Amino acid sequence: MGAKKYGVIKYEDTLLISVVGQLDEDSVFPTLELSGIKIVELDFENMAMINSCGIRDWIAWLREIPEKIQLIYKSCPVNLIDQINMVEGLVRTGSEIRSFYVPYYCEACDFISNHIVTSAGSWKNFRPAELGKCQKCGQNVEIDVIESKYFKFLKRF
Amino acid sequence: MSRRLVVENFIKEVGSNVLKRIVDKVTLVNVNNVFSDKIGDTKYFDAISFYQAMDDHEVMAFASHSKINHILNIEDPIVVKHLVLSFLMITQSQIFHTDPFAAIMSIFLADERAIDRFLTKGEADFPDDLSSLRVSFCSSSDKEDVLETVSEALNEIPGASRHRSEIVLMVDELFTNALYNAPTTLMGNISKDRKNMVVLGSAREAVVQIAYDKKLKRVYIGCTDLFGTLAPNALIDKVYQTYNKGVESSISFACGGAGIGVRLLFEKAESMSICVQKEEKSCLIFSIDLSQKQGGVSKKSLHLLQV
Repeated sequence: MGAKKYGVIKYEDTLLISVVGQLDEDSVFPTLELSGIKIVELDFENMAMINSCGIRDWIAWLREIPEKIQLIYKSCPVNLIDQINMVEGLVRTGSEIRSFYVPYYCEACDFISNHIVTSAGSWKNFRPAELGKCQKCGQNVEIDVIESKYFKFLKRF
Repeated sequence: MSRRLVVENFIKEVGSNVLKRIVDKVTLVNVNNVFSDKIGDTKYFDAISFYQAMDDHEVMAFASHSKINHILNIEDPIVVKHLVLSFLMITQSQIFHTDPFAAIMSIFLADERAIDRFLTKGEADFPDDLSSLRVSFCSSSDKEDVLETVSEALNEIPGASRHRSEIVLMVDELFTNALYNAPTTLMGNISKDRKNMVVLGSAREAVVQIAYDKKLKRVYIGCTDLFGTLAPNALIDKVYQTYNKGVESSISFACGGAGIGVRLLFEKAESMSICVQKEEKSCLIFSIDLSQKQGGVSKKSLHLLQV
């Protein structure tokens, strides 16, 4: 079931890696050709889930990427942010979180929608939109995480 | 009023409202009163402890050091049900032998009158006709089917969609634990590589169960294996170390499991109940309050029973 497919695209000094599917015990991480590479962009848009074995194997894989290479995390889903808040090593020091998802919940129609937020260079003054309208029924939605817990990771970036 | 006093008053209330022959069999402990780093020497067997406004790290520290098997948050809306479960685990542990999931669920899903009858008259007549989703498995190749079945079942539960990924992750961790940890502990703690396929004999089939409390909007996620190798106190120590040393430092990079699966489960849950019959069966049950936001809450109650 694990992520066995990775889109790996190289342009100039950047390597773009898309993580697809589940990060779990069956995941096979790609061997990277890093000569001339200064930036690795990790795109989690299509990552489905990460379990404890996926966390362990991801950290081990990250350790193989030289410290001098800048890591950029994009489109981090809610389940990845949950784990990043608990396991610091999922994002090594000096990396950048460029974008991540925030979940909103509509109690009226039991609908969850995830909204992506992108860094404007820094997360220092970031404040999530607290209320909005449900795209399904038009009622008010509210942010569906405990903010002090979910946004804790931003203090590192 | 101080937290210590609030818990003290709660205990007094329990003492005066619960049938004497039930409450006399246990020691009621105020965690906010006795909690300290030096509690290591304290041995409270057959005790039920209560706390208010402690974080998960403190709760696990207390659990690890005190070895008390029942730790209840007095702010939990179903603390009285937890109290009944604790009393029964201490005084009538045999009722959890045959089907621990059903026995525990009969208390969590009981109506208030049944709970009240037990506490005031000692009558333990809890419902035994509970319906739950049961998904059995005996091979690592069953994982996709198990997770899909659970995910589909959640479509029928109002409010479960917001917690779907958390519940599926919990089932994933429980599945792996039942298939890899439970049998290998019996064979001398051989760490089996999670990439290797495992097939249990049909006589050792494990089962994931999901029950739903419609009134209180809670989902209970359980898993029972037929090995009975789980050591509850060792597991508590392991979770405590993830708080104490940090999760990353607790990860095992050797072949086998990552060693942090139970922390992931504990993090998401609002209660944890573990029932082990040595070399017979182990049952772990975690609950999620569907009315809460995603990410887990710090108001956990826990129960450990080993017979």
